[in-house]
Amino acid sequence: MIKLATQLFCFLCITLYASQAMAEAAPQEGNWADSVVETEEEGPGILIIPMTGQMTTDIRAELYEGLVDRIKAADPDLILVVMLSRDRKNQFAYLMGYPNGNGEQEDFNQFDDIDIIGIAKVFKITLRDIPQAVWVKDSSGASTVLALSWPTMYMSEGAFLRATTQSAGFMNIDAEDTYGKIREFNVINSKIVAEYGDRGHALVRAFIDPPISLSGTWKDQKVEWEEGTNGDFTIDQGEDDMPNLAAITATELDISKGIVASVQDVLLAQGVRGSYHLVGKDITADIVKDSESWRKKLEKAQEYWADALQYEQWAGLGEERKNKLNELRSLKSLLNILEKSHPVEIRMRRPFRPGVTITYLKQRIAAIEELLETMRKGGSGGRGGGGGRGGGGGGRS
Amino acid sequence: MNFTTRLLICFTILLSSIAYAEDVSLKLEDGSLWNGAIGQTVTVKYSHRGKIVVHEGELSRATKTYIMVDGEFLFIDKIISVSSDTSASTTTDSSDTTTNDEEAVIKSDDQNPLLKKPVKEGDLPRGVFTLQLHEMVGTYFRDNEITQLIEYIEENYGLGQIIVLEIHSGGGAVHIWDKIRDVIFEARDRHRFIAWIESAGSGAAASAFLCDEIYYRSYGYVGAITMYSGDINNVAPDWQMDGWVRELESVLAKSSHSPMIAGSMVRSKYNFSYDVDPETSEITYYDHEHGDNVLSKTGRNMMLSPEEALKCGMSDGTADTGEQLAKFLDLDEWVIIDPYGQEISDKWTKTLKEFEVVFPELMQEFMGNVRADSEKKALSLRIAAGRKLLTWHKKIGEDTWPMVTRGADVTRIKREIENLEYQKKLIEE
Repeated sequence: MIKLATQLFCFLCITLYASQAMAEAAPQEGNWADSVVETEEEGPGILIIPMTGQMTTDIRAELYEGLVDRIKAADPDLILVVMLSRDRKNQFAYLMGYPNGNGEQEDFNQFDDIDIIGIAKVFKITLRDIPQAVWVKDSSGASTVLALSWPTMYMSEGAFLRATTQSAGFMNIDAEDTYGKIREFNVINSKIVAEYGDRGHALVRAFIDPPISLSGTWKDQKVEWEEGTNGDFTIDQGEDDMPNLAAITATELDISKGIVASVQDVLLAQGVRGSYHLVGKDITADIVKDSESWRKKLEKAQEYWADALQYEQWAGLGEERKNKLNELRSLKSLLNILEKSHPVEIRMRRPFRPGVTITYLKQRIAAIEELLETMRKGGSGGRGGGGGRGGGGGGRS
Repeated sequence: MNFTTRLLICFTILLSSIAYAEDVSLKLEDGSLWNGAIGQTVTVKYSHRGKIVVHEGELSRATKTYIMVDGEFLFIDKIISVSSDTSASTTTDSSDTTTNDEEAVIKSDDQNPLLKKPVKEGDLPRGVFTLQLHEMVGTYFRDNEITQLIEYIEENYGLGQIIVLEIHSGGGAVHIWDKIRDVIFEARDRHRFIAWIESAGSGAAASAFLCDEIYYRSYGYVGAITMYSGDINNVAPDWQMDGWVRELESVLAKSSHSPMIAGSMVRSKYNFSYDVDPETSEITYYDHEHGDNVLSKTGRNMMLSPEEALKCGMSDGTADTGEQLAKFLDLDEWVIIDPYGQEISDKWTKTLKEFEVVFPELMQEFMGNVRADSEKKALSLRIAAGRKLLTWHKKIGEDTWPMVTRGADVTRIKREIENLEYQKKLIEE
């Protein structure tokens, strides 16, 4: 019995020791980048630029233009743009065509190529001396095109590069010469993006020009992209097809340099060993705050607009002067926000959502003021205040 | 003035003309080299549609792709031989008579069959004059400011200046482009015109082609020159469009860029591609899509990006900053000699922006939307609005007015003012 107990004890000890030894010897999956450690001030200085949310509002040229001097003063060794800008919360929502996963239809990315080039100019011209990389956590349409303007791209495992048809208005033109003209006007900036990103024109164009097809051929360690299906492999068949590339595909085709899960992964891939430190944390924080701030203002703006419509309706029922005064006050408050916040102005002017422009508000305010003046002088009113909702949309959004 | 003095003056003029004649060197298809000068009378045997045609006359212009003899464009690659009545000489690369020096010159610039020897005429410019040509051709982007700047420069700084036109426009009215062409072409012999492109679509692209050199910003583009009117589907008829292509080709031929790009920029049915000789780097252009590098296929109106334009020889360089551009212009640094161009551009932009706001308000008032407690006062206000419109008309000018006002007829405004004054008089009586 004692012998059996001793043998059992020895066996347990050996098993325990062996299991510990094995545990120490086996590499821990996904932790290679643990060798890159964030410190207070050692190693290269990394500046994180978060690009989270909607193109043209959260992610807009004006925002980064205003940060250029601070970025230069922070003197980073690497700018890492972290992009999470998509229309739906996951690939399944895309496949099912669900509305925006964030809950709002309005959060869809708007394709404004002028603004995309504006952003690219900040990073490719003004800040060109600072090494840069983009980490795409997910992207869609306009944000995909913007992401392609960086030659060095990494992607999260579940990320996609998705196309958009928003610049395909030319397909409604019948005359062949103006079809060709407007088509080139609409897609010319895809060539500029491609040149900034050191990528083939055909590749970037395929993300915004539905009729073209796209194929590629490996040459040395790079893919040469071409319009048409004559390459070694075809990505986009043309008219009814547009590229939607998962991270794994994008990486296999040398569009993305690798699949990453953390900042440390990116840094390791970028050649950083040992320690690094973050610089310009205040800049990173201010970009996040900017999104929070304009979105709060948007809520307020939408509230003022709803109030104005309500007062307008009530003015028709009675207490006209009092309700018109309240409507006027609401509209002036709304105008004040729109004049001060470009993202809110962009969102409010989108057609039918609700389609309120600064010009429209000014006209409406003038009309109500005129009406109130007439009422003050003893007139009966009855004109000048009508109009209901909508102000003509306009712009490119 | 005695005979000796007259003779001396004539002799001096003759010597000067010889001294200022621009030397020209042509490398012909058969490898032979012809040396001569602008202004010389030459006889050119030229291959035209399978026949040999002889052109005789004054050599008035020479670029790397063509020469002009007696007003005729002759492409160098189609010239069989050139002979002249005076000192011109023809040599052959392989002949023993070619000196070592000549060989060295040829090898140093193989890509360019035309070798111009620089002629120094006084001090070279140390800086530039800039003019911002932004927004719509015909309204903001006009010939008026170009003329004004040229006159100012010639009055204050003399000839031989570098004028940089900073272009940022999606195009506009072709009939105003016609005026811009006349102004630039008239002054191009006296100054060096540079197009610096932020964006040049349609009529703005056609304006860039008028310049001696074209530089792109890294985000610049040039092209898509189709003509249409009003509705996007209202394209100009074929005969007009083909005329436009011919006009642009002739402009390009005068500007040392290949005329062949015009067709594919105007019409979506025309194609454009090119090859680059790997040994000589010489570029051959094609009006089809079978060259190694295809820039325009059927269904598109060509628009060139900075890289495309540079590779195919349609851009002279890419520069985002003045300092970068200065290097291309052979200047030591970026110096704007006088900000006059910027000032007149700003002034005109401000004026027009103001007019765009004021015009609809004045028109409404003129049409009777005024607040007045009597009919007489209402008429007075309408008359005042009409007079203000006429003052603005003078400021804006005949050419721009119809484009900004969408055709508001000044004659009718004048007549309506008379009508209102008459009504007012009736009330007063």
